[in-house]
Amino acid sequence: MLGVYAAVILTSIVPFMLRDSPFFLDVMIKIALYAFLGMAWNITAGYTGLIAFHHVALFGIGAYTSTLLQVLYGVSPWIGMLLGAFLSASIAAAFIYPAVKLKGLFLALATLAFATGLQVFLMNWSIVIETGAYPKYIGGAVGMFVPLTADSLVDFQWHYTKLPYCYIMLGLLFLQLLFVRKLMRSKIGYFLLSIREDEVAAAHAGIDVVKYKLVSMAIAGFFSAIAGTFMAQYILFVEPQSTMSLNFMFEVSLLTIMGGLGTLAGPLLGSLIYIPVSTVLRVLLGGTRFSGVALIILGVALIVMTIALPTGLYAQITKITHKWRIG
Amino acid sequence: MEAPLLQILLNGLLIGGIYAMASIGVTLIWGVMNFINFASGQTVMLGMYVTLVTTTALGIDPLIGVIASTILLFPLGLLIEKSIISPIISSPRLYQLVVSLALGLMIENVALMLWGGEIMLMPKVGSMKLLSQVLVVGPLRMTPAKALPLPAAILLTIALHYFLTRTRTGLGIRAVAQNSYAANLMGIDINRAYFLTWGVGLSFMGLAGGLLMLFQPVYPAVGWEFILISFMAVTMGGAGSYLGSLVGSELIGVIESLSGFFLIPAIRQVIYLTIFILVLFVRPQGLFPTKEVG
Repeated sequence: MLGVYAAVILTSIVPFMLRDSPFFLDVMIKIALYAFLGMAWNITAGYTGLIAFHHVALFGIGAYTSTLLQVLYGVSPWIGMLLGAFLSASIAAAFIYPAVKLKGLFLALATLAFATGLQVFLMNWSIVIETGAYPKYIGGAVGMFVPLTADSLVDFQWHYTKLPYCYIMLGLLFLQLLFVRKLMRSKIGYFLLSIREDEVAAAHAGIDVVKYKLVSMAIAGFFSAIAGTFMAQYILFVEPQSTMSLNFMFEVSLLTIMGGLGTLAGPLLGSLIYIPVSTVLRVLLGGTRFSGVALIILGVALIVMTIALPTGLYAQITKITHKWRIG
Repeated sequence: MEAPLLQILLNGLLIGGIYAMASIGVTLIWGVMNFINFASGQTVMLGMYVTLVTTTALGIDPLIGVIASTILLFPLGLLIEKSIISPIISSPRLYQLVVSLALGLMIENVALMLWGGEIMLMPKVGSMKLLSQVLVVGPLRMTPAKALPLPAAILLTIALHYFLTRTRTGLGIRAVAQNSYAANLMGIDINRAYFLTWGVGLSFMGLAGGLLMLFQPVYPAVGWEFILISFMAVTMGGAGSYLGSLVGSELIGVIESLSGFFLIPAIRQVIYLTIFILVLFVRPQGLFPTKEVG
């Protein structure tokens, strides 16, 4: 427990000390963002055993909802974030309802098809609105910009410093971890785990499998959309190709598995290792044909780990610390 | 409007042939090993590059390059099976999926390292001149290069059927697919069956990539275009049924081509993706299921 307090204090001081280095702040933000999304994925894949890959679409729904609300109606992104999160949670739940009987790979395929379909749709969907003298073009493959304002908390954008972004993302991650910890120690958490272990047995024990699959998906959708809004506000631009790319989704899921699937610390651990390594490699090798080395390393690491330590890094660490404690 | 409709149907069938080529390897590995190979698209991409590189580097005919790619990917399949697949063959499904995904990422980025990210086309040498000419048959027109995959896919399906039902090795592979434990008790070497299946599966993907290379530009990320489609084709047809995957591919090809003409061309992908999701919802076991594969 002491370690956790130390980590919390440390992570709240470090960004302030590094406030003059946008690079380090960016890395920290990325670590927190990937860990946040990884946890969203972990709730479905790790705790409930639902192999789904549409979180990236839900992430996109979050990004698009808050951005569209800002562009069209000038709604604050914070409100957009909440609305997007609820919209995404309901879409995720509505999608899983007919798909509830799909097992393993079939669910993975259906969700991949959903993510790709939404991406292609957004790439080709666009509207033109008349504002003043010039018609304004929104959406489509070119994406759209978040309307720029002065630095402010209400408008959720800062142009001269990344520090507020860093604290917001860390705060969101902290709240999410608290929530998931609470959730997994509650009755609902045990229901989710029992669905993962054996669906039929869970149903026979009187657990409403359909309902709790919906709950799991909805929570994951809620968090994914929040991350989406954050990303939109952070880069102040949304566009279907990169916002909803499957590569991004796979990176998130692979680093979660690397850290430890179905553990609270797993996504954070995976992200803490993967993001710095991939960022450094990108800085060193970006633009050359060796820019994919980070992904090759990730691939090799994953294959080796799945064969050698299938339970993930976190389980190994706890094993070692457990030995220390026992002595 | 008669001729265009026929032409559209023909185009759809030919596109379906391409998808069918790309999915036969998937079907084989899925059907026998119950293993979901998410690296299949990248393997097809590798087949495309191997064809291109052997053709341009050795100055041979592109069609011989296709054969070279078919042969060269066989040992690669064996290698992958021995080094990566066999240690995790009894792991949970998610780990199989993740490992093949990681393998795909590796193949893609190795290709990026070796050949760069530029989009490359097969140069017009040797039989390419003939293959890329437009053939006019009555009201229909097509290029032989694009017409090749469909008959090739049909021939391969027939050959596969013959192999799996008439030869000893093929029967062994099918026995393993039905019940690996019982097959083992009957004295069939499971490891050998898995080993061979990966070799043959990758060989098919090499052939598919080679035939695609005759008209399709190649770049490292091209594999993504085939992954979802080949899995959709296989799932729609019924997992493990190679005839089903041929029908599934044709179905997707025709839907794509028809919806591209009658509806908005840009969202034709959305149409078949939606149809795929609906098919999964209504018939999770596929249209022509052969057995329980989950």
